[in-house]
Amino acid sequence: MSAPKRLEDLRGPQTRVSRLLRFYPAAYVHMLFYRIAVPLTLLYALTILLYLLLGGLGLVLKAFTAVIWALWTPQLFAVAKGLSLAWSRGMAFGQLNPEFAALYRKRYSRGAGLYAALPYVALALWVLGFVVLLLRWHP
Amino acid sequence: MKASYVMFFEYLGMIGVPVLLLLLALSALLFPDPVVQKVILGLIAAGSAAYGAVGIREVYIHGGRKRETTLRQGH
Repeated sequence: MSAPKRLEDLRGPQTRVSRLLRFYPAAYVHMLFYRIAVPLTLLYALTILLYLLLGGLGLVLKAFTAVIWALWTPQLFAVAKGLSLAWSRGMAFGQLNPEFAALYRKRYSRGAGLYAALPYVALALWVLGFVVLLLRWHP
Repeated sequence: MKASYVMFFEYLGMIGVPVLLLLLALSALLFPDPVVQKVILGLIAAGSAAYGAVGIREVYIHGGRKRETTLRQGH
């Protein structure tokens, strides 16, 4: 009797996020930034608490906020893209069968519309907010 | 990950924290009131803590190599 076939994921273990780089670079950036951001957000929450309770630490808080802001960029873009995908029922950023997409457009007379622009608008607002925060916020 | 109350907190952090950060920038631009900014910062701290805690659970506990190997072997 032969031994049962061993299952093997050719993409490598899921813990090694760099495996995504070959077939999905955007997801790699998202995962990498997410992994760095996870422990830092906890430290950030602690820094805010210290700032609110003890005072001082204004510059540290501002610098930390800038770092968190930068790390959150790929997450924000991915969330906006995901919401666009869901709200447009797959017409924006979906990979629908062309025949299905054409029938959908014919039946509901609507395509991706403004949903295709939503992630980029969110990103533009995000960058604008970052600049405003750096220039006008003095904790 | 199953849909659960934990997921609710994850989405809360994922969408809530950037919205609050933008609000912080907006308040710094339009009405630089330290009390308003402190309230927003308090909410950001709560959101960040929830997001970080759920992230630790997701990335370093559920996504850990040991658990993944165990699942692959079918135990």
